[in-house]
Amino acid sequence: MNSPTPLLSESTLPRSARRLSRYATTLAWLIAPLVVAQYLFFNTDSFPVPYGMTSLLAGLEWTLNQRLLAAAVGVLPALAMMLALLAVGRICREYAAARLFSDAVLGAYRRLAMTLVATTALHWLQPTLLGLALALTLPPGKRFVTLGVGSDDLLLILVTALVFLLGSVMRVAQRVQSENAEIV
Amino acid sequence: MPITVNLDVMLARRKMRSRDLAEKIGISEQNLSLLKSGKVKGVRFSTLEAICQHLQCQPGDLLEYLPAGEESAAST
Repeated sequence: MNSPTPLLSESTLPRSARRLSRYATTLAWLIAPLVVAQYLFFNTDSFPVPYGMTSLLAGLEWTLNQRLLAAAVGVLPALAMMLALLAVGRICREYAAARLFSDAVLGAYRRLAMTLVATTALHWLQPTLLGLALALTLPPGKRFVTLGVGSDDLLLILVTALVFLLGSVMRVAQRVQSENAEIV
Repeated sequence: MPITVNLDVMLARRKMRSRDLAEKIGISEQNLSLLKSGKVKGVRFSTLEAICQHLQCQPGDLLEYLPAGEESAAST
């Protein structure tokens, strides 16, 4: 009788999962320093300032205080994204070790969903918080705060919902796997 | 459990070791031991077929159904 084909072979999921884990972990540790560097040293035109403030700040040289405040605000969603990427890296490492439905994978999916919620919320609030931070440095009469929802925010909400759903499916899959393990 | 596995009886009749049978049918010795002791939730037809082929027996020689009342009477 032929022996059954292994579920995971060396040439498919494990290799790609290991590679993806390396990319996700590397990006996770780079993202926050890059965001801080962007706010401290780069052109301010690309900063996500609130819409109404763009004209107020046009042509003005940002002070160090403004840049530091902007960096402090900008690094928050970056830190949340870092935690999300580290969770992705953990999931990929487990997959590379052929542990598809382990407790570590389920825990990582839960962490990924939570950090995506945080990323979505902080991404949505970032222009508002940035406007608030900058308003502190602007003269009276030129301070205001805005709040809005963009298509990026809706896309993040959709991705977060999908990850929550995937986590639920993985829990069921773990139960099915443990039942199958008791069938010889 | 109402289903009794008589695999150890067939192994003794055919004078075969568990380790050898496990290797021939492609399952681990641990799983075969669990099967012998009835501590599994199910058996695949492919596994059953392989066991019958190597032990030259029928599925009925390996599996026996004893309803709950008869099972407790048989054990005493």
